[in-house]
Amino acid sequence: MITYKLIIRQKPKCKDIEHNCDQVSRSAMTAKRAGLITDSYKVVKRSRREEKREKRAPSPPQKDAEPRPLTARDKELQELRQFDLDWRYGPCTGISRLQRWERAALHGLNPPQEIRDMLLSADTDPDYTHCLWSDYPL
Amino acid sequence: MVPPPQRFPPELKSPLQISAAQSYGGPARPQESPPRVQEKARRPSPGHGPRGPIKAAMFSEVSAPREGSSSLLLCRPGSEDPEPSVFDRVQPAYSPCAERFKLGERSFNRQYAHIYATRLMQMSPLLTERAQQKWGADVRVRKLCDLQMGEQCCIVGTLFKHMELQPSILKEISEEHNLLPQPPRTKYISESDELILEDELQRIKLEGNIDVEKFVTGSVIAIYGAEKNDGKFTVEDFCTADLPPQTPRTTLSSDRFVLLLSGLGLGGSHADSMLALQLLVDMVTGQLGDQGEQSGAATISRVLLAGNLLSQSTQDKDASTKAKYLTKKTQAGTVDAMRLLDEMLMQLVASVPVDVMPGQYDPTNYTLPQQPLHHCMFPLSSTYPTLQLASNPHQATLDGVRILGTSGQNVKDIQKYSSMDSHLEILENTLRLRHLAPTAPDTLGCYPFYLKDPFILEECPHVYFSGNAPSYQAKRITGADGQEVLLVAIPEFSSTQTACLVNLRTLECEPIRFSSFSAGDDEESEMNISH
Repeated sequence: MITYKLIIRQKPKCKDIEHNCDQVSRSAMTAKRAGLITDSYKVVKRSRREEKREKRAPSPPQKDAEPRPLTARDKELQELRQFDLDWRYGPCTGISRLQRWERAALHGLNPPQEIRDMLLSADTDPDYTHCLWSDYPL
Repeated sequence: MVPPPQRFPPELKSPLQISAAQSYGGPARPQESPPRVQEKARRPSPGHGPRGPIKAAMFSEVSAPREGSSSLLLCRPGSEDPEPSVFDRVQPAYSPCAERFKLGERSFNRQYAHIYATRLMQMSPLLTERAQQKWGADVRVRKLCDLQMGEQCCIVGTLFKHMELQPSILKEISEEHNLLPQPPRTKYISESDELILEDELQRIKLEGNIDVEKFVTGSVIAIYGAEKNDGKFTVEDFCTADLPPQTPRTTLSSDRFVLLLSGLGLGGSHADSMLALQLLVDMVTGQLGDQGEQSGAATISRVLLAGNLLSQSTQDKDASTKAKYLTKKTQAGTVDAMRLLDEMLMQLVASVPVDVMPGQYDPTNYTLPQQPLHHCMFPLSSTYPTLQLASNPHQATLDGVRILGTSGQNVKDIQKYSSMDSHLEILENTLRLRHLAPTAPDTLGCYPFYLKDPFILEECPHVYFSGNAPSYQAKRITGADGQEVLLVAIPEFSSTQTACLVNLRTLECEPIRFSSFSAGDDEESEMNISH
C-alpha cells in the first residue's frame, strides 16, 4: 500500500509554534495510523488560539498608554506642511518655503505672518526651509 | 577724441561730417551751424503739404534735397567754408530698463508650473476688474470648482489649446505608435483644435461664441457664459486684459528719430545686403548726401538693432554632430560673422548710440529672455560708451517715449500656432492680451521664473515693435483709456533692405529703403528714400 504524507513545515515564529508544527506533522501521521482526524484539528486550533493570545498579549499595554503628545517642533512642521499644501499660494515644489511666502506676499495674497516668523527663526534647518516634496526628484 | 573715418581721397576731404563723438567726453564745442550754408540753401518752408501747413515730420522732408544743392555737392570744397561744418547730433535722455529681463542666478531645478501660477496670480485681479467693467459690477466671478449648472457667470483662467498636430515628444518616442518624427510645418492648427480654460484647481472645455483658431495657449482671459449639461462651458462673450495704463509722454520741441533695424544676416552665403548695409551706415553717420541730408541725419538720435544680426547659416549644426577630431581645426561660422558685425558697429557707434538686441540666430542663450551679447565679442566697438548691449525683450525710455519690443521670436511662435499671419496683427493681439509671449513656456523656450512673470506688460509702451518680419508694417492704435501706441513690424534687412524711422515727436513711422543694383547694370547704386 502506498501512503502519501503531506508534511507541513512552517518557519517557526516562536518555540511553542515550532513544537506545535512538529506535533502537527507527527499527529498527522499518527492520525492516519489511528484514523482519527480530530487529533490533528485539535492541535491546529490550539496553536491558533495560542497565537491569538500571544498576539493579544502585548496589545493591552499599548491601549493603556496615551498617544505621545506632539512637540512644539512637530506642531510647527505640521503648520508648514499645511502652508505647502494650500492651493491659493501656487505650487510648492522646487522653491524654498520662504521664497513661496515672499511670492504670495508680493501678489497680495496675505499669507500668515507666523509662517514667516517660523521660517526665519529656523533658517538652517532643512525640514523647515524646504518644502514637503524636496526629497523627491524634479 | 575719435578721428572720423576717412572715406574720401585726402585731397577731396569731405567738409561736412556729422560727429557725435565730440559730444561724448570731448572738449565742449559750441553749436556750429554753418551760417554760409544757411544763406545759400533755402530751407523748404515748413511745409504746405497736402494737409495744409504742417511741420516737417517725415524724415524725407527733414532731409529733402535743397534747391541748388546739386551744385553744392559737386563743387570744390574749401573756398567758401573755411571750417568744416559739423552738425551735432541730438541727444535725447535715454534710460534703459534693463533689470527686468536680466537673469541673475540661473536655476533650472524648477518646473514651469510656477510661471503659469504667477501669471494667473498677477492677471486675475486685472481681469476681474475688466469683467466687471464690461458686464456690470454685479456679474458673478466664479472659480471653476464653484460652478453651478446653468448659471450665468464669469470665469477667469489660462487658456490651453489642445492641438492634434502639435509635436509631442511622448508620441514620438512611444513604441506602440511606431511614428517617425513629424516634419516641421508652417502651421500646427487644424479643425479639431479645442480650447480649455484652466484656473488654479480645475479645467473646463470651452465651446460656443469663441474663435478657437485665434487664441493660443497661455493667454489669460475672462469668459462670460454658463455651464451646460454635458460639462462644457458655453461661451457667450469674452474679454482680455486690454492695454495697460500709460504715462503720457512729454511733447518734444523738435523732430527726433530712432532708426529701427533688424535681420542683418551677417555671415550668410548671400552678401546681397552688404552694400545696402554700408549705405545705411554712411547715411546715419552723415557721410552721404549734401548738407540738407546730413543735417537730417543728425536728427537720428539712436539706432536699435532688433535681432538676427547673424545669418541662420552661421548656426552650424554639423559641428555638433560630427566627431570632435574632424571639427577641431575648423572655426565656427559665427567667428567671422561677429568680426564683420564688430567692424560695422564700430563705424556706427563712433557717431550714434546703438542698442544691440540678440535674436534667434545670435550667439547667446536660446530661451527667452535672451541675455545681452557679451562685450568680449566686440573688441573694437565696446570701447565706445555709445554701444548698449541689450536683452531680447528690450525696454527703454527715450525722452519720455517708452519703447518696448522683441526680436520676433514670440510673434513667429504665435504665427505657427494660430491662424493669424500678419505680424502686425499678432503684435496687436499680444498687446491686448497684455502679455509679450503667451506661448512661453509651452512652445517657446523660456526660463523657469517663479517670482513674477516678466513678460506681462505693466505699463503701456508708446512704441511697440517686433523684429524680423517678412515685410514692413506699422500702425497706430488707441486704447480705451486714451493710450496711444505705435506698432511697428520691422522688416528683415537681409531680404528687404528696409529699415524704419520712428519720429519721437509725432509717433509716426516711415520705412527707408536702400536699394542697390547688381554688377550687371550700368547704373550706379543709389539710395532712394521711399515711403
